Amino acid sequence: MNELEFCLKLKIEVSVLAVWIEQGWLVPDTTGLEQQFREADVARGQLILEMTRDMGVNEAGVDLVMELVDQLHSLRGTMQDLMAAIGQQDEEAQFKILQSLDRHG
Amino acid sequence: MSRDPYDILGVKRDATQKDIQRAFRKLAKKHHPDLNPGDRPSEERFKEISTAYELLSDEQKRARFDRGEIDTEGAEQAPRHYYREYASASRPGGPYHNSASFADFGEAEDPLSAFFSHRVHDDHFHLAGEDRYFSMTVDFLDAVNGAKTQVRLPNGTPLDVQIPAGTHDGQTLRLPGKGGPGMSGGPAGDAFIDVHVKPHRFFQRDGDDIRLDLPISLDEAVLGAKIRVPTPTGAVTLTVPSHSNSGKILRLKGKGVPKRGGGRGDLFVTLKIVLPDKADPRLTAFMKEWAEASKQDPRKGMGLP
Repeated sequence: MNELEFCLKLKIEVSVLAVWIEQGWLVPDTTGLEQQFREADVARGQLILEMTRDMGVNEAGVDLVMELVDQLHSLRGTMQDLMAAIGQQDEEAQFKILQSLDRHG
Repeated sequence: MSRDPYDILGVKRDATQKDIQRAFRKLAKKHHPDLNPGDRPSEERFKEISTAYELLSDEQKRARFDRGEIDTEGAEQAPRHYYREYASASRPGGPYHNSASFADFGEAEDPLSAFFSHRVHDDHFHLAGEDRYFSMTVDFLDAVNGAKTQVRLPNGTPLDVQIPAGTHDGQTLRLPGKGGPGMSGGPAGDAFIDVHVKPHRFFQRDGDDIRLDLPISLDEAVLGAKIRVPTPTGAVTLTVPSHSNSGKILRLKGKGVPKRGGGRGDLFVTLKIVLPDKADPRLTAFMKEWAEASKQDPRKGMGLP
């Protein structure tokens, strides 16, 4: 969806969206002529909106939260890949990994 | 929603609008699904909190609810997709990928470090050089103690190789960046070296331990002695207790192979009694005399006639 559709969907002003993009909270797809927003961006916008409007988080707070949320999801993605890779090992290898986790834990 | 909105937000019936807002904010920060990506039930809790707040934050609706004119139903929200559903599998290349929290995982020479730092993925347009495989033979003690050596590449250039202490036979060493050169700015490949460890004249490797057959003379076995014993790091003095049998195993703690996580294995010394090179008439005479008196039968219990 384009900028206008995005703003309509979230019921926000274009100027608000401009701030979000400028802050780096949203990164629209700019490979085409017009910048495009994904469903993920809508959900992300909703989170930003809830924080600023309902939860009383200020701009600096949102900045911090979005940075950490992105780090958290990237870490989760990496963790999932790692879990999947461990899941593909044979039982003995999995057992060894568990043992070594026990030792560290 | 059937629970009382006041209970859900944990406020009294006469709470001010400010109190209600404060209570909601506190709960929302705690339960927002996007701030708790791994907590599935948070969605249900957050929905409950939001619905309660929607009702109580509006003073007119709140008044009507208090008078019993409306109930908590009807304030149901449209199905909602939280950001976490889209982001749960954030991978390199995505617009919101941020590896700042784990890019330092794994040791530099650890093959896993590339997985965490994802530098492999950043090199889309740069071809990494090919990996190269070599094999080399090293002396037993160089493998145990570690050593610097060289292998000669097929094109004649020598390559310095650090053999880590404790290297075992069949181990593969990885030399990052020592393989074929990369293309258009890509990283060089790695060199992999299969290590074959030559057997030693008298030491034998047993995992992190070393075994050694140690010849001792008859008198050392009977009387006991302090003798010099070779170890991978030089000779040490070993006390052989008196009346030590052939085959007795003595342990020299920490004189084995360095372990990867620190510390060393042990050196196990097996005593082997060795008779004098030439028959000694005095010994023969003494033995005849001794045998008559001793009447020892070491093979007793083997069922011999």
